[in-house]
Amino acid sequence: MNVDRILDSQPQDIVVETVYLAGRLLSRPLTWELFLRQLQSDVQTATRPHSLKLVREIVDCIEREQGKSLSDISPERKLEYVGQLDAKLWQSVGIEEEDGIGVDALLESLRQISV
Amino acid sequence: MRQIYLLYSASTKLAYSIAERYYNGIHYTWCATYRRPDPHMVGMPASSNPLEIYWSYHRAVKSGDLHSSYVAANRRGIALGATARAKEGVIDARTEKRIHDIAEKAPLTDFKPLLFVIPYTLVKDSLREVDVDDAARASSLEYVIENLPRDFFDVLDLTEGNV
Repeated sequence: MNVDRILDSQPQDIVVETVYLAGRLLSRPLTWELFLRQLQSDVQTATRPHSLKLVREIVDCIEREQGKSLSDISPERKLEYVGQLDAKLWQSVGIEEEDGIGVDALLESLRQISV
Repeated sequence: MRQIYLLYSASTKLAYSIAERYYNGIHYTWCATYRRPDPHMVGMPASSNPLEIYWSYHRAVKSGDLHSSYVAANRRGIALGATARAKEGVIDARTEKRIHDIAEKAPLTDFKPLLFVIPYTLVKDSLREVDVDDAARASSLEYVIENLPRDFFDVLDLTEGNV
């Protein structure tokens, strides 16, 4: 089973939040407990409990597939899962150019902002 | 506890510009104290150290590393930031979508690093301390600032001799 299937039929805001949180957990050597403690400092959104439940499902799925606990899975392997989740994220947010303003023009405009 | 004077945060030009353009110059910031590495004590974990993060962005951009985990994390953070600001009513749904598109499509060169230098006294009442593990706690203090106005920090571009 691909981990990204867990996000099937979830609303976009949940996908964005879940992939962000999962990426944060999987990209750093965090235990689940420390990850939860760190989130207490974060913005508390109404969707956070549901997103967190999905992150837990993702972790459970990875641990089942790998046959070991998260802390025993190599950083490289964990980043491969993050890559799968990223693909799902960008698939869910899609492109919209109905008013004719393309991403290239927006980016060019942002580059003009000085620090 | 040692007195804190400055906090540091690594960001990217793209994240900075989005906050300036769309969030009225209000920045969501993870920041940390900087301690010069001491060979006799456990250092701040690399992934939490603002300067290490800064140079990781720099190396990714300079080497054209399309698979940089730092840049990928910044893309996700920008996307989440847009969704959060939309829920707060700071931006509308169309702008949220535009920012998502920007986060996905922006080329690597837009992730040039910036270092925010934040005077502690200006933000001490806005800080939320981030729990770190026991090994890191000895040497690092990490914080989140949810709404950091542009007037409250300086921006350094270490790669262009601006310091």
